[in-house]
Amino acid sequence: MKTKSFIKRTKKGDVLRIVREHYLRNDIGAGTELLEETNVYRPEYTPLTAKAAHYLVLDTNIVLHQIDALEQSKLTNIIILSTVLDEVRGNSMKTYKRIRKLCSAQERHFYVFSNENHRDTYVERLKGESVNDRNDRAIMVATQWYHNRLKNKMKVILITNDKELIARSKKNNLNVQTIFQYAKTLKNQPEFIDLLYHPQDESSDDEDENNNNKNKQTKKTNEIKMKGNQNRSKKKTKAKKNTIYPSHYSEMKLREGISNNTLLQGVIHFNRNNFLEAHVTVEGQVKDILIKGRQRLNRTIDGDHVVVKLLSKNKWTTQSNQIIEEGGGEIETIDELNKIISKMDQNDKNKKTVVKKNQKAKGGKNKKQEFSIRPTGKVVGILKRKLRPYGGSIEIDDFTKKTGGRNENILFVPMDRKVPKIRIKTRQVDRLVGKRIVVVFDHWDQNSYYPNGHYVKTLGDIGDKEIESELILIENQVRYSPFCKEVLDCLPLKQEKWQIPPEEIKKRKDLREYNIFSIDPPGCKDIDDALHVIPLQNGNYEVGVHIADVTYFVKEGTAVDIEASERCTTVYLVDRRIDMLPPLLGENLCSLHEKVERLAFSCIWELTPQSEIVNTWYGRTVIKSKAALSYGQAQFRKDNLKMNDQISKDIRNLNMLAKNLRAKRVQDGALQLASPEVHFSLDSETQEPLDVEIYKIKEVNHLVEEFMLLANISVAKKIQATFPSSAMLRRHPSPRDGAFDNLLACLANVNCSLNIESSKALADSLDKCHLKSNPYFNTLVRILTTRCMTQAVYFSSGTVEYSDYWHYGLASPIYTHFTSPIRRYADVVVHRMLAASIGISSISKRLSNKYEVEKIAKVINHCHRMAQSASRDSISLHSLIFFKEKLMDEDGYVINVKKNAFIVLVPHYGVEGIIYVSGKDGKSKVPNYNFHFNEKKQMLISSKLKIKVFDKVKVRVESTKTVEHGGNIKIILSLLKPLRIISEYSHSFNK
Amino acid sequence: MEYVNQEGLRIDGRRVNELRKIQCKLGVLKRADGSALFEQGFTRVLVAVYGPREITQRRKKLHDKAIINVEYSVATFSMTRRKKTSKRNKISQEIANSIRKSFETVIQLELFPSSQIDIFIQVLQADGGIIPACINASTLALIDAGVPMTDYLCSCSCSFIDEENLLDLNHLEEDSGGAIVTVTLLPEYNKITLLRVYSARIKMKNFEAILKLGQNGCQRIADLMKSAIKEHTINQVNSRGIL
Repeated sequence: MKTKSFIKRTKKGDVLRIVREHYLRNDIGAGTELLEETNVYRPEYTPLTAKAAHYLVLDTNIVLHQIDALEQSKLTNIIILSTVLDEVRGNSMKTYKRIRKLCSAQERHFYVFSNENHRDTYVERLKGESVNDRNDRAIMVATQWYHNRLKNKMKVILITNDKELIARSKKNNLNVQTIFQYAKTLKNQPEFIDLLYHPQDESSDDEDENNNNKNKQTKKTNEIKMKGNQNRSKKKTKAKKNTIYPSHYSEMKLREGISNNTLLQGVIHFNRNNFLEAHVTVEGQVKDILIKGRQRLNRTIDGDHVVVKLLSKNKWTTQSNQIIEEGGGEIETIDELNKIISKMDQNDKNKKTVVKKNQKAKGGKNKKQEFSIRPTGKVVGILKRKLRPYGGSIEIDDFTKKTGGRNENILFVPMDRKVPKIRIKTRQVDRLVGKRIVVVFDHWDQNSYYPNGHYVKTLGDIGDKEIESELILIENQVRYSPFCKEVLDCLPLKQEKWQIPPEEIKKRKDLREYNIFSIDPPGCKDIDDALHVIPLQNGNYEVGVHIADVTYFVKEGTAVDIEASERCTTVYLVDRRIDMLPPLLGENLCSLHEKVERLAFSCIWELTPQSEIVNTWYGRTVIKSKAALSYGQAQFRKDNLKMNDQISKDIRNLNMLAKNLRAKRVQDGALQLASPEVHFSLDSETQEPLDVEIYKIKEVNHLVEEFMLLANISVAKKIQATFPSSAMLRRHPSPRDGAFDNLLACLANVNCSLNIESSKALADSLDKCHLKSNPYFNTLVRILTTRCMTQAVYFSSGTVEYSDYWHYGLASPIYTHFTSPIRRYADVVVHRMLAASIGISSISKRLSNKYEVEKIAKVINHCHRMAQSASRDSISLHSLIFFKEKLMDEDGYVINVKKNAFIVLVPHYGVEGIIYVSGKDGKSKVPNYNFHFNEKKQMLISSKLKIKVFDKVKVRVESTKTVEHGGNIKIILSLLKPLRIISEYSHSFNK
Repeated sequence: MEYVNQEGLRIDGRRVNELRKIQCKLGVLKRADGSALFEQGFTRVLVAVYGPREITQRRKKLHDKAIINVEYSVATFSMTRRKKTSKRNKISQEIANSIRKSFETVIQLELFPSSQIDIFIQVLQADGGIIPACINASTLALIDAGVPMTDYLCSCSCSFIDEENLLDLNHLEEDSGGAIVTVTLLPEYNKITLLRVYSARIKMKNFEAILKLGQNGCQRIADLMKSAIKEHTINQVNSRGIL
């Protein structure tokens, strides 16, 4: 039955010689309907059909580079060799997973042929032959095998871009084509060629090159015709100097530099407001390295892992105070940009000489200026790109509109402001105008301003709410596909009719008779938590917090658990919710609805009337909620003293205890921060936003919040005590040094100050910040303070010192998340840990290893940030739709002042916008007002007027289409009071 | 690590229920009473048997039957890294003990009162499935020595990795973190004499299937051993010119 000859296979690691057996077999089939094979093992693939025009065999490079194209296109009947799969896996695990998924897609007829284990197609490495050559030969031999077996029955084509392989295969009379040649033969799939990734040397593709040249020529003639069009002028500069960017160092040089510390490596983060500025965070270094200007940024993209060389100290500069958007209307050509940058640099230099002089004169009094000068560097190499598909639209100018149908280079404008424009090649310009498309980065040549990429897919029309929402999800890497079958298979069989099994009730504490109720926002479907309170005879109170017992349904390691751990959190957009758990669990079986029996994980305290904890009990329970109240209903019951039913009384008791708890927390220094959170009321049918309002907080919100905090803190203490090194906790680090500098300078202008020494001092001084002239001032300060803070993060307790567990915002020495397992994965992990720490289940190996827990925490932190930014994006999208074709005059407040602009917040709508005071040429936009920027005071000063943070202004809010972003809609603010500055993005276009 | 790929092949190209290549040789050592070399893939074990002979340690003597003495040692060159293991360490002792116990059930010890049978096991190459290989090799060596036994003793390992039941693990598969189940069988009676579950736990619902797979594997090994013995005997007889 099996052929057993075996061959030594060596694999040299450090110094080890690993020998493995390798069995060759004769029972591996060709996987095609054409051949009747007996005695053959059939894996679960859909066989290659007999009706196909030909079968394709792909080379490794094709799979690696064209995986997008393979996924998107409708190519069928493809043979994937195990040699190719192994090579792909060695190169990129991600691609390997994708190709595996493709292979198991029923309708695609992909077949994996294990040529490495087949007796006739195994190839032994010859003496002096490189591994790559051997693999190429293996691919060829396997193709040959197919060719011979399917003689006269079916054409087998080998697709490769490797010249040597092509030559050798041709010698053996095999059909061989490059992917580009093949793409051209596909008459019925014209978009396929666009999907292809274009490798850097296109010499193999001569025809295409010719096309390019032709295009360039037509462009040149066009250029001459359109003299005024500045966009083209950069092409001329391109012709003049061949290289725009300095070349990267060689790998050797980089490695050497890193090991002797002359070069630094880190992750690059671009500035949201200025795409020519970025900073690199280097591990183990306190200060980030500033990188400014195109040349120094040297073809990096946000998130890349880069190697940086520090510049000499006299070239170090400060962060610029300018707002520069790529193609955002203010600066249109590269030349101008360069001018501005050089001007900026000059200014900086001037400043520095001034600083130096001052220092000499005043003897170093000017420390603050010195402080803001940051280490500056330039990028000399990219270790690893952080690539993802980018969503956006194509740039429309007069030129692109005229052509169409031909193969055309166009610029793609990503939604993400931190990502540069990408040049793509397409034949379907007409079809892409006004659409949201997805593009992937390919490479960035030294002699091209923009990176090159290729088109992946079209999402839909710009401005369509569904499409824009989808784009938000893609941009924030949110998994929004519906739950797959494996996940749904993990759920209870009886679906909605599931009931708690009696033996499960026996295991738990029975609280079904207790007067338990829940308080949530109106319309809430996933009720995580419920409460109860019982006055005890000794004057104390028994208070219980009951949390949905998600871990009963979501067992560790099951498909639903893995899916949840990848989603990490439920994402709330304005018009939809992307669930972490399947709705059957989240909205039904786990959710603590009223008047049904549900499983819960409870935390019950005995509290004194002063809310001191006497003792705590944790455990699994079964409950039956008596009422699911909304915040409004609960508030009404509390306030209306005539209502004397049990629940109303309980709410009043709880409120009394919560107030004590809150007072205690405030005394400890808990911060009350603010953010301009808005709430849209949506049209029930069209889901169009009808009105915007700022979210109002009721007293009962605080009631629920206090008990949730109490539960979280108690649980955090418990799991930390049991698992000192691997407990999943949450900490909020104190703000970084200097984070408050700008805010303090602004506050000094209005004679206020904040004490930032500790959270307690900050909380106290925040309470004192009031301006008689401006009732909104306090909230405004709180909003700005929030923005100075660092973000709270999850971590594994063993990775950080105990003193760093501190939660700054809540002023609690230890904290975790326990109360929302339906919508946060961290809570699920904490539930498992708590269950283990009270001895009702055992802890898995994974959750008792601090590195594993830290890994989980990192993923959750990342997803959490992404989810937050998705919600923010969704809110701004809905603001855009709300302001569509509206013109409103509103009060606003200046919240930030830059060199050439200032930012205004309109609290009523939670909208922010930039108002430029000087144009692209550096000249003032406003006649008679010549603003200059005072950095120390954070003010824009002219002879007649000062603009500073916290100024109340009157602005006009409107939304219009912009030209450069391919018809993106944008919110535009124009200043009406104290002076008129009308922002004019679109008007020039409309003319 | 992918232990079984979607084509149903394992890392070394076997299917889930296939054994590695097995080769046995009897009578490889001329001075021992019985000896055997057993190879299973790259695992290679040499066993020498002496006895039944007069007991060397008086205080261990039993008046009604013979005792078995098993010594297990691993060659320093048997693994990828050279490593010295003493005969006295706990793991070696435990393995030796379990092998001794399982042979006590099949050797007809009461035929040889006050005597002893020595089994010396030397692992030459280790590539997974060492204990089963030792047991199989010992069986062959005992038969070569002419020690009367009620049945063969056949052994083989199996496991549950990546949702698949695997037969005959190599060392990569043994290191996967899954349980290693060693099944030792009396092939004629189809009775299990030794069952070891090692390095991880296994779910009860999977266990029966694994056991069945292991038993099946043992039967197949028994067949191979029988034919090896037959061949050896014919050679032996031929060389003495009886036939």
